[in-house]
Amino acid sequence: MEDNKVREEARNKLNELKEEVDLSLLDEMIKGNTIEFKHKDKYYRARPLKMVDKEELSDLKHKKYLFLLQEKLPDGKKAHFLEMEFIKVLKDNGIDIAEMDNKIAKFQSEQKEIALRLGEVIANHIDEKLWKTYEEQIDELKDKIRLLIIEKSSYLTYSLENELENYMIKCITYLELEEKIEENWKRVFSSIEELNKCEDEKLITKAAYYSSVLTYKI
Amino acid sequence: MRKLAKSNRWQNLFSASKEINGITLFNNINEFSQIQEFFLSYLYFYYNLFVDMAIHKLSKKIIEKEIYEDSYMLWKREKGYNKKDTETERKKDIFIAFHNKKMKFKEKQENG
Repeated sequence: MEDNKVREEARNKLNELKEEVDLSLLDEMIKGNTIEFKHKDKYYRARPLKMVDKEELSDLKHKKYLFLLQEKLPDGKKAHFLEMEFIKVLKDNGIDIAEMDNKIAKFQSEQKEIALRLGEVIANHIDEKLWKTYEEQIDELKDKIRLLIIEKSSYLTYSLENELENYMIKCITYLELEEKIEENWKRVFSSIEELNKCEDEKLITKAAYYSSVLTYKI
Repeated sequence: MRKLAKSNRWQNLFSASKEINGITLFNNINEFSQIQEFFLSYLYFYYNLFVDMAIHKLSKKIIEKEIYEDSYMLWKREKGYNKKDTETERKKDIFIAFHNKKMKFKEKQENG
């Protein structure tokens, strides 16, 4: 029993420490606008896109979009569907994305309604016990929304827009990732094709995550 | 990120940067990255929340959970104090306008 308590306390302390380390890393990340990290004894960093990189990124996006739109399967059919086309195909197969959207909107509106009530209760110094009740109602709705969003995006994983977005993350990683060589920072990959050939998946995953945090979205 | 934005250190820095020239929040002074833009919006969010907590004597429990913080700020944005005041003022205006109309109507009746 005593052992368990000690273990629990140690775990809590470790978590606190981890959170502090994560926070200080985030602090540096925000302040410095670059993310440095070590991988297999080498130093790397993700840095924000320069104007010239942004132009290259836009060019790559444009070319990829046209390619995806025009690519055909061996039988001559389109290889990729736009999200709207996908939604239609899914509906013909009994999966109604519009209905999911309606449910999401309904739950979001209910969530907002309750949040407004909770906000009013907080502002008007009304019984704090009510806070918990509203909080639980909001959490329940958030879970429902989350599940629906996951379900919806799993159906649309292979839409053209999604493929383009994944490609963009790769492009940003290629443009942002640099390696420290004798006190100088140099780009790791000379082209997106070179990144595609890289076999160090862990490096790519790490770099893609940091690059996305910096530039794309959180 | 929210935890950092509401920390004393960042809030003090944020206030100081607004008042004193030369104090900057980040190493770069322009070309903010996505993460910095998000962070700036959270700094502003918590700055406003702390000001409100002081002015309206809100319970400290509000900063225990993000759900409380978000709900309060949503309420303030959509229905908040000023809007409530405006609403009361609007009702007063309607009452006065209506009352004046009745008075004028009475005057007309008396004159007529």
